[in-house]
Amino acid sequence: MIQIYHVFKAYTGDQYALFDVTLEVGKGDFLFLIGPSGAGKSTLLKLIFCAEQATRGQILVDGVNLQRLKPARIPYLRRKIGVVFQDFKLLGDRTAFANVALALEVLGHPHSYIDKKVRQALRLVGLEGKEQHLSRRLSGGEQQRIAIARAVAADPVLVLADEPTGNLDDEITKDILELFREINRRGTTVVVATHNRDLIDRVPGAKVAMLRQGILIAAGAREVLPFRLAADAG
Amino acid sequence: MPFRLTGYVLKKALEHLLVNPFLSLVTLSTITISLVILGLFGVVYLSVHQLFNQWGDEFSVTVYLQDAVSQSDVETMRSELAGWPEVDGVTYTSKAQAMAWFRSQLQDYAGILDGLKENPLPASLDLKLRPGQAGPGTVDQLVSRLRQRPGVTEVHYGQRWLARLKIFMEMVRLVGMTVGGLLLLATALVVSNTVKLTFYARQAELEIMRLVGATNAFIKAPFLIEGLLHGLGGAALAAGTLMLLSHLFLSHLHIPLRLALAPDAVLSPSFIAAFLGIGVLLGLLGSAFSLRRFLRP
Repeated sequence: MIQIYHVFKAYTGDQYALFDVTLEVGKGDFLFLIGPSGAGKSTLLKLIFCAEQATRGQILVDGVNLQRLKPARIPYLRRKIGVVFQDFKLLGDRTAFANVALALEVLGHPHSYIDKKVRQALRLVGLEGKEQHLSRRLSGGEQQRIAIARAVAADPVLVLADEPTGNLDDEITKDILELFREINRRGTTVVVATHNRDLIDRVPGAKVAMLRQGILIAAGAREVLPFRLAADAG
Repeated sequence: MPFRLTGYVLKKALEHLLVNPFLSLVTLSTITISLVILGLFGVVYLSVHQLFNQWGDEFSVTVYLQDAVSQSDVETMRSELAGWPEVDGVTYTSKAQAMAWFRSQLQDYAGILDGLKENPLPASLDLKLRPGQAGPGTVDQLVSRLRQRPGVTEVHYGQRWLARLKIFMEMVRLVGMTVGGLLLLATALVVSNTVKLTFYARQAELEIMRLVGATNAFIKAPFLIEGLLHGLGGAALAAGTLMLLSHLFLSHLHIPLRLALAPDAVLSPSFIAAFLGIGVLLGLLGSAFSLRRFLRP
């Protein structure tokens, strides 16, 4: 699903946010991108959904080479990707329904289809019955559920989440992670960037890629990386 | 763009107008006032132009001939001039006819002419111009062509008045173009700022729209339509104001002067269409200018 080859990202001169990162994420994988703040996790996600461009190297997403992608084609790539953020990025003065519907309206779907898909997505995230609630009146956990519903409403092949549980307590974090697992079980590739290593134990079979100061220091199945993770923690 | 997208874009544009109703109202008023001022210049210019043409229909150009010109040359010249496209008719006045006319004008004092040894009045050809052929350019050209002809001593026409009217017309045109140009520019900037403020107010939504795969054209369209609606609304109000003004003002004028002005021009469909066109263009350009700066990739 995602192939990253020798990717560098520099914002100023020789200050690299990412340095020679090579990583592959298969179709249907669940990947945790872990590392402390400033490790380059968010930068890597931004490169994948074309919010930024790599300074050097190649990135392929669902067979599309992002380095060769014309700006006018970026929206069409984004339609295959659902993105979830730590700060939810919702429109507070709109209802849960309207927030999710926005993702389908820009694609020009008919009302009946939008209605069906939005209700489906809100049901998936457990917000059935709260469609007409203003998003700002809902709890943090519920707001993140709306954001997840928006991310999956258009049936993307890939979901990227940048610290999706960063603002949530432990109990809600568990629920949110369970949601991502469910999305993954339905065949969608999921990449979750987090600084919280505890999360990876909650998703059996998940893969892990560890970044530190822009360098990928470990990548692979959770089970084969305990030594390196422990060493890094030490 | 599919039909349902067009509907969505229109709905968004109308929402934009309501983001800040006061600002929308100010923008609409600015466009209206600018276009009314521009329209007033247009009306004055069109009226003077119309006046010019009406005068032209009435006055003739007089060509004075040298005494040496033979009768056959006169006849040749007369038939040639009658064939010119701007000339409606040519009347010949011989030296004797001129003197007879002069005598009749002097009436009781005609006796003072008896002392003359020879007739000092020249023969002349009076050219009546075709209606609508008395524009400043046409008359000037005609006169200079006539002056170059052999046998012509002088060409008389209402040149002083024409020249004054011409200068006035030029002044109206120049001032109108300068003031109008500046007003249009300022108005486009006002539209541009309004769109910019709407853009800021909806920045969060636009960011999300981009995130979920909205194209730039899809994001831009409601803003362009917002500008277009401002322009169209302002132009319609301005056209209405001008029609009302012309009605109120002209009804107080005497009929001859009223006819001399150009109320028909203001009420004409082409004038209103041009007005709406300027309004739309103004709105679109104002919006496009903002979007160009704010939607750079």
